[in-house]
Amino acid sequence: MSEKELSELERALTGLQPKPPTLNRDDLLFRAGRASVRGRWFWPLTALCLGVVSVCLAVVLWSQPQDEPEIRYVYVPKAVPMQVPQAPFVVPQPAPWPDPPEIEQSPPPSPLSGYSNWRLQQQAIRFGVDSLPATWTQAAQPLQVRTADGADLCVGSRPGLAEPLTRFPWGEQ
Amino acid sequence: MMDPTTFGQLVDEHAAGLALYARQWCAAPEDVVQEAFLRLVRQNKAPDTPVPWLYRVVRNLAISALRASERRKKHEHIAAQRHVDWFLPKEFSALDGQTAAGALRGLPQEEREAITLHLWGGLTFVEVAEVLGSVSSTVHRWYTAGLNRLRERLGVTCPKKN
Repeated sequence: MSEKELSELERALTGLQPKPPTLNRDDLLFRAGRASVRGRWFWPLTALCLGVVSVCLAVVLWSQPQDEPEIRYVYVPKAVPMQVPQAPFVVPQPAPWPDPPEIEQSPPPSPLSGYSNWRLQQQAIRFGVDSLPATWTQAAQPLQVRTADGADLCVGSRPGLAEPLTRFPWGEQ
Repeated sequence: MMDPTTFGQLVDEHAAGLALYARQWCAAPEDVVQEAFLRLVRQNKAPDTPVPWLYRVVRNLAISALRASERRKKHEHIAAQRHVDWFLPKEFSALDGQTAAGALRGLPQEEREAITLHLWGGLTFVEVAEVLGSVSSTVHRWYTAGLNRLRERLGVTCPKKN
């Protein structure tokens, strides 16, 4: 058989229209939409599981014997404060201080120690040398210095002390 | 997930061919075709070639329906299958639908399936082979042999050569 004969037969067969099925297109699309929903069994299964659990819990609670509540007395010993032995209070003794260092006793102060030089000077100017204390005048001793050849030199007294203030130091009479 | 427009287009274009294909086994092909479409929308990922996929599902469902109906009421099924029209009344073809359907029923199953899938399903030989679980060369051989048988049974004369 040639290809042309086959094509003629094919063309004739293709001209036959298949009988359309008695499908309700709208119903099919509706069912397809419902079938395309994902997880449609999730919530029904969840509700079913929770319902079963609830029923089981109710059965367990219902089947438990309900006895009268038993009253039990529990004696708790009273707390007694304990006597804690106290150690005697000992005052801590301070460490002995080290001995103070020996301080050389200064000589007793002279009667003039209470006078300042300025006061003595003022007193001498105002009332004269005689008014000065005696110790002051006695202390006016001339200084003697021995030279290298053995001669003693009297260099006078300390100014203002060896000699009474009979004249002013600046030369006025 | 297939969008509704594509799905409606598939229903409009291939429902008749799928029903014709399912009529080879069962008297109520509408249920089989509808179940095949519903299985298509339940797929997490739409098949790359939905038309061969639909024909394969229709084939499996129709064969299962045939086995189930044979177990229940074998005689009623056979009687019902005889009175089912496969094609519309003769309008666009030189062939009579009843005669063509009778000739098709008399073909071996492989040849009949190959002709139905290729001519009215619009599948290529590769796709037909995918549906039937065979190779395209074998399908083409079945197709050619089936056409030869049909030509003999339908009395289609060869065109005169000038």
